[in-house]
Amino acid sequence: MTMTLNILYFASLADEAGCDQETVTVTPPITLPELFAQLNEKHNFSRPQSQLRVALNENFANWEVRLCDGDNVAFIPPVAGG
Amino acid sequence: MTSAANDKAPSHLDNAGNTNNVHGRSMQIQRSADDAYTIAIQDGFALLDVAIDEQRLKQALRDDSCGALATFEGWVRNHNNASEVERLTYYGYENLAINQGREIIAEAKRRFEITHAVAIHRIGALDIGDMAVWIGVVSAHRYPAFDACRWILDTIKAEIPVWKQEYYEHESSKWLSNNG
Repeated sequence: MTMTLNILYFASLADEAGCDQETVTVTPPITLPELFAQLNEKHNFSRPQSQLRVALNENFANWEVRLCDGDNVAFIPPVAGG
Repeated sequence: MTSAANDKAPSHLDNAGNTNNVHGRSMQIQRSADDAYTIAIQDGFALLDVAIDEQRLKQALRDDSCGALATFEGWVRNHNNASEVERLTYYGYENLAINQGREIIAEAKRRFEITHAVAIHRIGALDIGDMAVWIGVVSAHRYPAFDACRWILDTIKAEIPVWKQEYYEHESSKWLSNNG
């Protein structure tokens, strides 16, 4: 049984991933930190998880939130608005 | 884990060394400008990818029960510490920004005695002097309007998912962050 997730990247993470979006298939159970670690292995991000926020389905979430099939996950590097 | 990239094939640097391909979507809004204004006026916050019409926002805040309007305009500055800025580009995660912005304005209304508040952040390529953000707050009396305007600005800077890439005269471009 697998889970499909839609991952969104912005700013420096998008530069490093080489894309702004990718669909991944994972085998639950998997936590958000584990998901990030797997993506980090692939893309070798310059920022560690501790410097990022995470958003789930277009709202900020904490890293302990449970993932569900079809979720949109976005990793949010330090913001620079205003 | 298996994955498929939904974006165009890599080579995300064009001939000028710009990363436009992977950032194209976050440089624009998906909604129409009119929809963005409607959302901002109703719920408090939206992103826009064209010049902000502050008169339109000010007009929407008009309220005879309010004796005070406090506004803030953020302009693109020509320098960042010692570096000369030529231009910059803002990128945003539109739907998250709208959702988070709505919460910020709702929180401002809980914290301060204000009648209404509206804020818009512009994304895309901006020149020196362009307006990047507009905030307006109306209240019966002046101090809540000043205080809420400042609080909303500080909170927008801390929380709204917008990123900035500055381009300099004599250095390569870089991603900025509000808190390093």
